[in-house]
Amino acid sequence: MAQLSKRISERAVSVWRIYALIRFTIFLLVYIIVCFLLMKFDGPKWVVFLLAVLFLADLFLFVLLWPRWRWQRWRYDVREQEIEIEHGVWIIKRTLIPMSRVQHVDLKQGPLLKKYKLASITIFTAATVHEIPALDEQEAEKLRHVISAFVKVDDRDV
Amino acid sequence: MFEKKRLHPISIISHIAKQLIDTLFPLLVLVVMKARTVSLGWNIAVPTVVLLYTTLIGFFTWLRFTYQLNERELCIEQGVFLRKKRSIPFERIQGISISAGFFQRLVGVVQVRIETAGNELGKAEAILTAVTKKEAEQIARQIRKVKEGVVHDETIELINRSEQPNDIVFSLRFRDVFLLSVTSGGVFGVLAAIAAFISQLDDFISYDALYRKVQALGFVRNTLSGVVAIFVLFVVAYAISVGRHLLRYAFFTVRKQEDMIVISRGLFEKQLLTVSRKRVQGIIIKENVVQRLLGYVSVHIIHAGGSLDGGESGSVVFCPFMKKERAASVIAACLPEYHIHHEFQALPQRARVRYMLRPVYVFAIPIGMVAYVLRPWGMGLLLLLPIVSYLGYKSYQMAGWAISANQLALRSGMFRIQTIYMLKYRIQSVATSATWLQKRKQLSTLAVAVMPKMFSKVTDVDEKEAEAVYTWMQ
Repeated sequence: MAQLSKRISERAVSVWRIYALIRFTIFLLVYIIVCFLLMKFDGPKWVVFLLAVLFLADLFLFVLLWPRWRWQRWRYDVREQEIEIEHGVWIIKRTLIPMSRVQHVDLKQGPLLKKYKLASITIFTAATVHEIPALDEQEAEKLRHVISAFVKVDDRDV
Repeated sequence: MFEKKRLHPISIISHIAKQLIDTLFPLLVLVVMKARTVSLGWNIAVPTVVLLYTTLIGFFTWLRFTYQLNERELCIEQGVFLRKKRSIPFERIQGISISAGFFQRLVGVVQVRIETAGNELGKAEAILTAVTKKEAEQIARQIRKVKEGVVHDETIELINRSEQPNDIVFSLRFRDVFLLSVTSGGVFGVLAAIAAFISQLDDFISYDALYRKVQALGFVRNTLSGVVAIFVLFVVAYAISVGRHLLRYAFFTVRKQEDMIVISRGLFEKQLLTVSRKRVQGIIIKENVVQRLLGYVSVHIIHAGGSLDGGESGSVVFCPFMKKERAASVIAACLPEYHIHHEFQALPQRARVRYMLRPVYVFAIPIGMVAYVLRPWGMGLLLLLPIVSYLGYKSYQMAGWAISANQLALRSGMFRIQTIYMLKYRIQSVATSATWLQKRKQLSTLAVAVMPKMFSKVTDVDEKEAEAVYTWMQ
């Protein structure tokens, strides 16, 4: 199968890093509490080191590297007959949604996405929901119009 | 005309009965098991309180439940402590199913279930437990008037017509109902029932005492009595499951009437179900281990808009039990657009080892732990690992896919093989995915979605073949 042509905005990497960092901070708080309790109740010291290693690995892998890998893998294409999406770092998944199955399209923009002038598109069929995250604002708006223009209700459908 | 109405008071009794059946088992355990340790008051007080509470709640539920039929919508108010108002516009109603349970038939009323497309899957939007037949007819007529007879409006006439034998496509003989009940749970259905039973007992076994006994009597004798006890539970749970299936599937009949498929069934609670053929999204053929050995299958219809029979969401039992060879002809009679066949494209050989190892990964830790706890004899349990691996091998042999004209069929499963037939224009999305490990072996997982939120997938299809299915959809 041919590689899909379009990519999501590269600013997605920054946004995803911020998300990851927020999660990491929460984990870090838990980590500090656990360490504190271990010290206080004379727990085994090696657990603290193990956790520290895990946290460094987490920081390195999921905060620094993963968002970029994820962005590199994200591709999509919207044609008159169908929408195609490909994403995933560990599991690479490619999805095809026939245009006649699409029920409606949503555009979503949280505060963080707004700050980076990004928006995500959610595509609904009668059975599934698909998201194209972190598109450029204007691109997302355009895509939404394009998709709703392509959508025709198939009369065989319920 | 638009006054608020209550249900027939028989719904109080049916409500109480339903609640009591639900609480009967825990109650029995509570009363019987505690009998020796707690005073006699316990044995009377607890059931009395439960009975009183259920009766009161039953009464007030009935008292506080009103429905009102307007020109364009059905309004329902309900709730004892928390009041809930709901209005359902007729346009949104997708189906009505009418049934008459044991209590309803005592006084000649029916239960009406109302389904809409947008509702939570598997849950009816509204259930009127007991209304007169005339009332049900009026509700159906009103809805039909608004919807101009689009969907399911023939329900009422069907009730009256349903006794005609001419259009029967399929009916279960008593022998089949019995065989179905005996084989339906499969081995694991039965085991699950036991597990549920044991978990109920969990609180009442004193582990301290057990531990002391183990030391006093020696391990072997205890294990033996344990095995006997489990065996007894096994038999009881199995008998219950058989009984339930007997009640559920007795007099199972499928009729074809113009654009509708009408399914009726039930010994005490007669249920009538109408499915519009236009709304059928796919067909599933299921066979569990035991049924497969005997050459029987069950056929289910995937249909859009709630699970009308209160079973699995989105699928309706079409034929609970039939000879495998007969399935194709019965389905052809009802739904000729589907082509039921058995020529499947098998998975590549390099997928085999993955199929054989996967169940081992899953079961190794739990089986290993049980084996360790029950050693030395428990070590025999490790023999289960080659068995699950063999099942994995079987499942590799059974899995596959097939494309014919505008139909896609996928087959997969381990304890229960499931074959799903879908028409191209019913498929909502198709996806191929691969982990790094799969990619290394040029394998993919193929997943297809149909309405309503039904997913079907086959793991470890040849990469090129998965691509072929994917491009077939374009």
